Parts: sequence; structure tokens; C-alpha cells
Amino acid sequence: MYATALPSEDAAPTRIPQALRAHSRLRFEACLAGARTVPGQVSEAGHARVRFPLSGRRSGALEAVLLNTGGGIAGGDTIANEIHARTGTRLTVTSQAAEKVYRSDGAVSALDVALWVEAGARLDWLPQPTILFDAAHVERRIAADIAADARLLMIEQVILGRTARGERFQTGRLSDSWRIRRDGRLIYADGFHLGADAAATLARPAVTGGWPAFATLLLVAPGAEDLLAPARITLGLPDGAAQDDAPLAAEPEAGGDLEAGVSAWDGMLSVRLIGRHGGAVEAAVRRLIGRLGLAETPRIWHS
Amino acid sequence: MATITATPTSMAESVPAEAWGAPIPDLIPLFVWLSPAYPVGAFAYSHGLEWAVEAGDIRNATSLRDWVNDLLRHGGPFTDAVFFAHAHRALIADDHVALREVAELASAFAPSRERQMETLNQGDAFMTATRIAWPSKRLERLVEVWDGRTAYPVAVGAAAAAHDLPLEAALGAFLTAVAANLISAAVRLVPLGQTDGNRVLAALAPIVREAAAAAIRHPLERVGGAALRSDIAAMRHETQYTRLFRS
Repeated sequence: MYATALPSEDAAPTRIPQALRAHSRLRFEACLAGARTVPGQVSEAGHARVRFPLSGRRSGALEAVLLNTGGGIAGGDTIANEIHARTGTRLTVTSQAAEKVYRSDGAVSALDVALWVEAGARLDWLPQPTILFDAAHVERRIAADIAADARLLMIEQVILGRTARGERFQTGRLSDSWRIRRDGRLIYADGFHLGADAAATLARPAVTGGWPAFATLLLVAPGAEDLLAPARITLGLPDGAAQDDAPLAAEPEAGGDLEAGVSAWDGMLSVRLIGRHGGAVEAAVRRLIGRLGLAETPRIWHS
Repeated sequence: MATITATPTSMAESVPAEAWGAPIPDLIPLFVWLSPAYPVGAFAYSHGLEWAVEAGDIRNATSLRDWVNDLLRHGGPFTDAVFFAHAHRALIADDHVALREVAELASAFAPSRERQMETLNQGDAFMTATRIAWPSKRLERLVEVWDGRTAYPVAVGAAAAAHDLPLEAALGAFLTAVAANLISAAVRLVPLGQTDGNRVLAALAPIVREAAAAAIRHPLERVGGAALRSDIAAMRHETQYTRLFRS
């Protein structure tokens, strides 16, 4: 469904000389030009590129599409994305395709994301899923700094193993850290850490029960907590308001291939999704975006 | 714990005095702080376990052992153990920057509203009780470097260091108390017999030791777990129809 396998992807991993490893770095800013948001400074290095298709045509927002001209990420590759949404801008960032991380010879693939959202600005960080091939070794760090009245929406989907071809994530490693600061104060921190024995760990009942796909949605915005009940309803969960009338409302789960939970506190809305496959998670993400009006679904997602 | 049989007379002459007194640290503060009677209200929180019982994930002693095993190795108790270890070391080293960093990170490290409330309410209550009943200049360092609310493992880890309790023993005791609290919740909710609960706790002792050892080695910047279904259970607990617990 996502990854078209190249013959080379199944080759035994060989040590890639340090000099051939890709170190990609992308930096860009979104600036205000009148009421529209337009690209400001852009700097690209390695395999990282950004394109701005049809910029500013929808609701004054700028859509940025990230590309990896290397086609995927190998062990030892590094990618750093640094994105600034300047005062008053509206920026949506997505990626051209699912990001594939190949099996590693032991070297770590380091993915760094740093987001800045200035006063009154709005940044939607909506990359397509990250797919980790078995034996991939990923360390990802996501940091965001947002102004007190800014708005940040982040959705990160992860699929462990090329599930469409029956691959299980047996020996890979994933370490994922999120640090979100608002007005300089750390308000949200999260860490996912899957070390040795990935498949056995995933299969555990309190982990994912063996399901390979998951996502976290985080909205930091004034009024984010007002979306708690609508988000629960969208996911088919009891909304907590009608308890007295519907004591059995805990039952209806969507389809049996998705598990979901929603919470809200301190100006944040947080959603966790686990799927039997990536499609179940992606469908839930689209429902949330659409029904809650969280963002305009990036055009490139439709293709 | 080791039993010491005193053999005075001839040997005592050739052995330095501190070798007799030093090997057994005074663990009494730990027994007090981690007793259910200490006023942190641990019994009021289930860490989402109440929903896991409701949903059928925990229905007997075996599934209870599996769930708590996962939490100790990959869930909130594991990340709490990492925070405990870093807070303990930072206070021993008198490293204000490291102490502030772990206090800040632990206070924000929560996947849901009730999970954050669980750790901050217990942490603040622990600090209040301990500063009054077990005053220590060194524990005041934590209050000086961090003016926000205090996560429970940071509070206990720092207090243990302030009273010179060794990290391994203190962290093992902390994780045992956390596991015992979860099992006690399950005994009431499933329900299970007290004997079953005790068997589960005994069976988890090796996991507690393993988790404590792993947490002590774990770098702070990579702190994390994988217990996503436990996170979802904590979120679903917020709308659970009948609730005995606050999380």
C-alpha cells in the first residue's frame, strides 16, 4: 500500500561508509505578506527539499511539502527539519510520501524536527506516516516552541514493518521524544522507546497487543479542551457528557481494527490511536481532521 | 534483607569500625514514605487499570501479572523509575541544572489529564508531608531549583537521596510500592482474593529488580515506554461510568 519495494531494499545490509551516508538539513520560514503567508528564507542541504505548491490559495495558509530526494532513510543517515512560522502566519507542513526508514547495519537513523510558532501564528505539522522496515534503528526528536496565543497541531503516524507485504518488526529499534514548550514552559513531553525484542514487546497486552500502527495527535491551542467531547464522538467513544442516559455507551468501538483514547488538559488535546494496520489509523486521522475542522487535509494526501 | 550475626572479640580488632556500621543503610524512612499510611493518597489512583479491568484486559491473576509486568518494563512505572534515578543522582551530586531538568521533564511527561494529576498530586502531597516530618536541607534544594509542581518519582527520589538512602534499594522499594498499589486496586476491582494478589506481587519481584536496573542505566533524554494500550486505558478511564479510582 505504501512502499513499493525495490530489489535493493531486501539486500543484506552492508556497512555504508560514513562519507556515503546522507546528512540532510532543511530550514525554512513562513512570513506574512499582507494577509497571506508566503515562504521566507529557505535553506536545503543533502536530500531534503521543500516545495510550496499553490501557495496561499487556500484560506491564506501556506502549504509546504517536504521531499526526500534520497527516496528513504538508511542507517546512519540524519535528517534535520527546522521550521519557523513567523508572527501571524498560517502554515501547513506535510510530506510528499510516507517516509521509509530502511533496515540498518547497526547505525542509527537520526530524525530531528524543530518547530517554532510565533505570536498568533498557526502551524499544522501533518507528515505522512513514517514506515520503519524491520531492523530499522531510528532515533527521532521532536521539539516545538510556541507562543502563548499560537496554535500547533501535530499528527505523527508510525507503522512498524512493511505490513502490506507481511513484514513484522522483529529486531528494529525506535526511540521517539517529544518536547513541547509554550511561552517557554515545558507543557508536554512524551517518549516512545522500543528497544531489543521489538516484536515480543509489541505483542504485550499493555503495549499494542501486536498491532503495528500507531499515531499521536496533539493540538496546543487556546480552547483546545473544547474539542474533547467532539473528538471522542468522532472516534465512536463515549463523550462523558451523556453518561446518565447511556450507561452502556462504553461498547461501540470502531470496527475492531482501531483502539483510541482522547484526553485534554492545560490548553491541549491529545489523541492516541493504535491500528491493526496503517489504514485504520490513517482513516481515523482523516475523520478527526475533517469533522473537528482541525486543518485542511493536505492536498497531497488525496493522491 | 541480610541477617547479621555479630561475632565480636578477636575479629573486631582487625576490622575497621566503619565496616561494621556502614554496610547496612538505615532504610526506615523508605518504609514510612512508601507505606499506604503515608499521606500521598496512592490508594486513590489506578493508573488506568480500572479501565483495563472494565474492558476485560485484566480478569484474573495471570492477566493482572501480565499487565503490571508491562507497566514495570514499558509503562508509566518504568519512566517514573528513570525520573527517580535521575532525581536521586542529581541531588547526590548537588547538580542544580540536572535536578531542575528532571523535575521539569517529569512534571510534563504525561499522556493524559488523569495521569498527570496522579503524579503531581502525589508528588506535591509527598513533598508537603516530608518537608514537615522529615526535614532536610538537601531536600530543600529541589524546592529552590524548581518552583513548579513536583512529579511523585522526583519527590521520592530526591528525598531518598537527601536522606542518603542508596539508589538501588530505594528505587526497588519505590517500584515495589507502585506495583503493590496497582495490585491492591485490581484485587478490589476484578475482584481477586488477597492470596492471589500476594502471589502476583511475589511473582513480579524479579521484574521489579530488572526494571530498576534498566531504569538506572537509562539516559534521561531517551526516557520513554511503549505501553500505548495503558495510555489509552488511562484516557478511557476519564469517561468510565462507574469509578472507584481517580485515575
